[in-house]
Amino acid sequence: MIIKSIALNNFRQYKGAQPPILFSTDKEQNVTVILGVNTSGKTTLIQAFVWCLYEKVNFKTRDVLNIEVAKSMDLFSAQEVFVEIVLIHEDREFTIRRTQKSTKSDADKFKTEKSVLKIQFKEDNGEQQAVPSYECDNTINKILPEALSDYFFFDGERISDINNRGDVVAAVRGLMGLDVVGEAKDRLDPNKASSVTAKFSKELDVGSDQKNNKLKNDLTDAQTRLDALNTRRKDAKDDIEYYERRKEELSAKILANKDEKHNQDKKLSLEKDIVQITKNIENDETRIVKDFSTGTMKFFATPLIYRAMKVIDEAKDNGEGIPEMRSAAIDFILDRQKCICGCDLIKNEGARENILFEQKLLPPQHLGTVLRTLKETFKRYLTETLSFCETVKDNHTDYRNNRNFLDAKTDELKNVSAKIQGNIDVAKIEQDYQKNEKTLKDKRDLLLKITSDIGATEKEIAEIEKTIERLTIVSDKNERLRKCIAYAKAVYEWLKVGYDKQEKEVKERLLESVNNIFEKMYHGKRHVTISDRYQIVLMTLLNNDEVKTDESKGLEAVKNFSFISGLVDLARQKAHKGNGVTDDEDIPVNTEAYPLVMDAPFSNADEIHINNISKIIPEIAEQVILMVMQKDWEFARPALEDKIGCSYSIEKINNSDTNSVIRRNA
Amino acid sequence: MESNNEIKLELNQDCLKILKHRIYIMERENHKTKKYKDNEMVERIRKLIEAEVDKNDN
Repeated sequence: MIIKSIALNNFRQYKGAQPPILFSTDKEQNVTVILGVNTSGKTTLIQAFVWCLYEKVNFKTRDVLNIEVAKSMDLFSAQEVFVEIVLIHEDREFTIRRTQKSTKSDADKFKTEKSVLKIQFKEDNGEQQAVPSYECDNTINKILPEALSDYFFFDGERISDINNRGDVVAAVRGLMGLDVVGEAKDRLDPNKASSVTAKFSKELDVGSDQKNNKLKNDLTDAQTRLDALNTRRKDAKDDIEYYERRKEELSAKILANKDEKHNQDKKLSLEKDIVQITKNIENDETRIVKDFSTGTMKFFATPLIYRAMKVIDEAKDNGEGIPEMRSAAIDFILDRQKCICGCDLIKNEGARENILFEQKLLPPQHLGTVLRTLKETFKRYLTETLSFCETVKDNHTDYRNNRNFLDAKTDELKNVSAKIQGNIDVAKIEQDYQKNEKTLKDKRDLLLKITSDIGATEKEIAEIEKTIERLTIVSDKNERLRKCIAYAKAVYEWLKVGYDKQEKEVKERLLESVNNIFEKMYHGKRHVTISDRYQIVLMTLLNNDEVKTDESKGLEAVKNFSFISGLVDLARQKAHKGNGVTDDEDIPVNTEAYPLVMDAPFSNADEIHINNISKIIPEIAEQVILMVMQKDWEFARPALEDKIGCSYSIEKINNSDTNSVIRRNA
Repeated sequence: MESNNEIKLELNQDCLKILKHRIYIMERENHKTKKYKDNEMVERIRKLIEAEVDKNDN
């Protein structure tokens, strides 16, 4: 496939009808370069290809009508957007035009009709022939399947996603023509219930015995089960691959954020400390308040107490009465006429007089005892006041220490938080890693079980088939069916062997091609490996061991670029080798050379890599269309100059983001 | 009467070659056009094999 031209009308920032951009179709000077500053419309141009072919756009809105045109439209007036691509596919020229009409229905509203795709091709006699509208999508799919489109119309930003794309396997198989063989193989697979072979088997006449006929149903059941198991095995493998990739990503994140993890642990520990210290401070405050409210009065009364004690001392009447005894208590004893020792006070006059004497030593008759008690209370107060000072001092010291400690920890927390602010949560990543490990183990166990079930089911199918074969009666009908089965199985075997051989060859040649391209761009010790699922990994030799290596953004871009270029290169080589059936051993695969249409291919690459990429691109693709920023072009130009067939510049009219034109450079 | 499962069928190599070629071309065309559904393709291949077997027998 070679793209001859693209013409745009009112498509996004390309206001009005733009003169067609003619791409170089020269075999030697096969590069067309389109230069432009940021937001001039380089990505829009690549989107124009995708919109025209597949009605897909990657913009925030699906509106493709130029904003200035939309604003200037009168009420109920209509405007058209179209993109027209002229290309050569399988030696035939196709003109593909997608048109969309918008009518202004209100001040700010538009009625946008569904886009219309029209395709014409040139007959061998030069006459234009229209493709029926119902066949248009099929025709596009024939020329460049949508599943592969991202590989040939890509931008430098999206290129880094290549390892995470789910359709890499399907895309590579499709590009190499293996999907056709794969589909044919599946339709003849004797183990599939819906296959041609199985359908023939079902028709075999095993007589009227119910038991024998039941065997055929058992065979269909087993084949259906096998189909389901194979689907589950594929799903399990896909899942395992996904979780293995996720494991690698998470490991890399954990490793890359080792310091972050340390900081996050530190933050957690500091937060815990702060909670504890704050609690201690609250306790200190409660204790201070409590001690203060109970001891302050005594403390401030100390001078008064000293003075009172001095007065009591000077009174020289310390009193000898029973401490805490009251005169009323003595009256009570006298009234009941019985002492607390049990002595009868009526009969024992001496005891009665003795009690009366004790009463005289008590207040209110005598103050001595009161004074003595008061003095003892004062002494206790003074002792307590002494310890109160110590307690207040200690409380205050604890409080101050905790306050300082809190300030220090808070400052530290602030510093640590500032370091990790906005960064990823490593603890969460570690949790995800553990969860991922568990899921991965479960999936691997599941795969083992499914594989074992597949083995058992295949054995079961083989046994049933053998029994059916034994029971099959001899008849012309069965003879014919057995021949059909034999031919179907022989074609299946041929496809299977051919498919495996082709896929092995594709992998080997792709690996070789990708590494050749990678080595031309990168001059270090790393090289590329490609997994069974077409995942690309950078490896390096360390102490005689192959180890996976980290990738910078630039290196990742080079790696991914090598992969895509390797694919295009391989498709070109295969296309040049020719298609069609050659002999019995070779399976025919149908491939065609493809162009590379690239937006910002040098994104993330340094000047050395830009130069290296520039040298390789024209060699690996039949046709190269590059949308490049002026600053990158300075580095790419020396390597590409001899290969440039056409050169264009995108100019912003009045520096506007909504009006650009593309002019051919002299 | 049961058939002998030891009997191996001799396949006509020309017939096999034609089948391989036609089935592949049929698949390749349908891959491009998506004209036929899976079950329709299975039916077409089946008829193709039957026709070739019959032709070969005659």
